[in-house]
Amino acid sequence: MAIQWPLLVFGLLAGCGGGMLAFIGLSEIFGVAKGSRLIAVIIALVLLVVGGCASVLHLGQPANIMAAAANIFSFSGISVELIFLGINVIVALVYLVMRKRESSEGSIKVVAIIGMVTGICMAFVVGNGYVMESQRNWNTVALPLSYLASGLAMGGTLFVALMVGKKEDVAEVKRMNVWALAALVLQAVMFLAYAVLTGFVLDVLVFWGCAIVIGTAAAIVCTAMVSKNPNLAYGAVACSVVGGIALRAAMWLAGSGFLALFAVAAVRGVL
Amino acid sequence: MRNCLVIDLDRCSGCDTCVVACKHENNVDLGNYWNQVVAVGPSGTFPDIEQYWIPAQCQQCENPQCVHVCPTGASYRDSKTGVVLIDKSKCIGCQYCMMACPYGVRTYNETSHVVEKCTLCPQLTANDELPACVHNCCTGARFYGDIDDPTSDAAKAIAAASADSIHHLPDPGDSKPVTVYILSPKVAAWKELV
Repeated sequence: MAIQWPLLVFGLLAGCGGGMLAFIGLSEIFGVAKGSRLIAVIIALVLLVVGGCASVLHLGQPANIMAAAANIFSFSGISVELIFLGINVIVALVYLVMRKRESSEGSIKVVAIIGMVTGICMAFVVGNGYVMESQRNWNTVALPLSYLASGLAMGGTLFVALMVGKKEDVAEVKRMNVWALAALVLQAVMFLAYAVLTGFVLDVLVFWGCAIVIGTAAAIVCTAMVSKNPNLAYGAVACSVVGGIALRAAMWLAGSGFLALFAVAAVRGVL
Repeated sequence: MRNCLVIDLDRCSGCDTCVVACKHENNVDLGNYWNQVVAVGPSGTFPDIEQYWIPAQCQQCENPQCVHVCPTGASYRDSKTGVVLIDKSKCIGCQYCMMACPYGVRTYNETSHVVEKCTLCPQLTANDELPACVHNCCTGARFYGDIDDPTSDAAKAIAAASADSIHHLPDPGDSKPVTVYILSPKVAAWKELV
């Protein structure tokens, strides 16, 4: 199946935005990265909104998104994605406003923790809509879990890079970097599980070259060395984004359908 | 009620007349199809070679995956007729139904930006006429009707065939395709295709 770029971009950006919200929540729990949270939530909002805009380009006409919104409680894959996109944007906006107004730290922390949960859900549901029995290479929970891990890895490395850019305390960077590293390790496990459960059918260059070697192994190396060279945090972001793109591209390329009868007939193929 | 096609592969010659009749009757766009014919085989070793054709179109599943993924309710199964249909006024062109269809028998209309498929010609059957593909089949291989009604052409064709000649396309899980293919072992061995 051809790569559906609007959907790929949506899954990538919304997943990254959700991952970013998760790390903002984590930073609130730990009481670290005070100087980075505001810019982080603004970036998360931009990622979610731009991702949402990208997804409508896949429809017959962009305005058709209104019909999908009108049927939001059909709870189809698209509806669930829309619901969580809306929830995450609202939570991020509430957090942003409360931070700007300098509301009580306790209430901000509650909103941030809610954002952590909804962000994790966002990163998961953007992959869960593809789990369907007619697509044998998508029909595994390892796919949405890979999307989730990828979203957390991108969000985590981006959050750490922001902290480095904002020249946050080294100990605080180190603390959040451990969690970004954990997200990348989770990504490695989930990506490999997805490859195993689909019988190693994923594109060698895209999946093993880009998602595993660059997107995971190189990202782990960069993240592990952030304490020695903080600038490697930017490298980790770049690598994890490459991994996120590659995972999603590999999924589309592996989408073959159960019995693609019209596709066979179109090339005068035989069964 | 489960209205569907019953296709006798013992008779089908793979001539594509059903494809042409469908396009003509339903004004299907150039390059798009609501049904197609796929060759299975040839297989075997000379002189014991066999081949048959699968005329492929919507299988009118009882548990259609296309309906489950549709975000707007555009894809639906008519509870009165058992036919799976698309309300084009509700279709947003997201194409999730095309990903979810186990048989890859839906098509995207680039002009009207909606998904289309076999409808079993309700514009004809409402007037007690046959779907265009059935009416025009050169070899009399296609039958239409409610397979739960013993007096229908479809049910009679099934009743006339031996039990080992009745087949459905393979089901990836719980889709329950209704369309029936008749293929006698003496003509060719049915292949599961997956």
